[in-house]
Amino acid sequence: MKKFTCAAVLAGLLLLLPSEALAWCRTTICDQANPPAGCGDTTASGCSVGTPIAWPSSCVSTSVNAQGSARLGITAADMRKVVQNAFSAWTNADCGNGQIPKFVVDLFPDVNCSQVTGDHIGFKSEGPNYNIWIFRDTDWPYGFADESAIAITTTQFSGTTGVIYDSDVELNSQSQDFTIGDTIINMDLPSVVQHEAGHFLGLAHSRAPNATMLPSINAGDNSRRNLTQDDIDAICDVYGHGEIDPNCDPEPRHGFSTECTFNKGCSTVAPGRGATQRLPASLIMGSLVAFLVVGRRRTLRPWNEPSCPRSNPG
Amino acid sequence: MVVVATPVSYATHRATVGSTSRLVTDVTLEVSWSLRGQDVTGEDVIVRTLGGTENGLVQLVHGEARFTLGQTSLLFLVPDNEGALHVLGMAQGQYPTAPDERGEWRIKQSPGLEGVLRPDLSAVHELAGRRLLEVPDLLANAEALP
Repeated sequence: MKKFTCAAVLAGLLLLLPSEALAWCRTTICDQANPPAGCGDTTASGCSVGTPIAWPSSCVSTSVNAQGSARLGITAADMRKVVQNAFSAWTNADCGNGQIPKFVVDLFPDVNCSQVTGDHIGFKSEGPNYNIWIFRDTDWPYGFADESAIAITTTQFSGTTGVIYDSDVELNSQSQDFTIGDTIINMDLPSVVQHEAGHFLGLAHSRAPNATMLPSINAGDNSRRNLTQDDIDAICDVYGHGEIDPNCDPEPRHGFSTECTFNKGCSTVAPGRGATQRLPASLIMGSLVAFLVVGRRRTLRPWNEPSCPRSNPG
Repeated sequence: MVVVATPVSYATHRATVGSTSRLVTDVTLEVSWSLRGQDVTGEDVIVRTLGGTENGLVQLVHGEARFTLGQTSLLFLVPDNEGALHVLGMAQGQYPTAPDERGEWRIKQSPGLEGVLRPDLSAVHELAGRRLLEVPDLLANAEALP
């Protein structure tokens, strides 16, 4: 009872904070060779001091693993829809005066990765890349440290500038019973994906009540599908607003591949700008229509298959 | 194992984590105080964290403990199947320490954590801001809970 009272008082105090109080944080990096002042410290608002990370241009691509989650009966198509809705909410956040963030995320073709190897994680300096969402139905590899982790996002970026190169998300479908629907809600996949998409975009955790970027979620809670004003303030601040550069190329560095492994010296045919489904500008109107995405959709253009063998026998 | 320790060096390399090949960083820490587990006071321990820096690129695992050379932390450590030590609960098991204006060492939350949803259930809420010298009593109290 006492603990509950303390929590209630704390929650009350948080609600009394001025509306303009910052709770959201950006992911930061401390260059160990040339650390900025206060590097490693935490600000009064709970954010880490350092150089903030961000994608270098106003567009980026992402893909889901073609396997989906066999254990949970979630297909790649299901996951594509969830990921699309999540990024759509972030990139169409209402920044005020009819403005939306100057950032778009393109959904590239599914990638064929094994769930049990680590070849999908991180940036590959020698070959094509992808920013993947992958379920791990077995062998969740981080159980030694945190078996209850729901998902883990790994982001790779320049240690000096903070420019993001790659971001991959692993979902712990071994121990978490993810659900998608609105009626039977266990661990709400749309909420989890919404949160991890925030990390993907360079955001860190927030302390704001009910924010999507709060660092934990309980089973049965689907409230995090919806961005709060704190989340919106974050994405609008990080990426600004305005028109997307029409020449912006969402392709990953060194090209894109639908295979986790690749043949060195064999380049994939880059899909090029506009090759895939660009997450639409949409109208998000609260929880009842969290999945109802309405708005412009860019024309799909067939993705060019690689001219090389699709798998690396070596 | 619960220790107070200071990172003195680190090395990043690829290692098998579970069944996957991952970039990891082995951080060597000098232990100044052993609070639970084998007494390793005055010795070095190596703690493995996910991610690291390779060829100028940082691989960050969101929620993982983050070490800064020379910055002392209270650490809750757990071994994996190969015996390598990891921070329990990732950033939830790391508490950087620093002297306050009166010179008393106090505990902070990990820079990798950046907030908690349920402060009433969080060890961070119990520990952050407390004096380091209070930790033995806090541990004993926690262990006495049913």
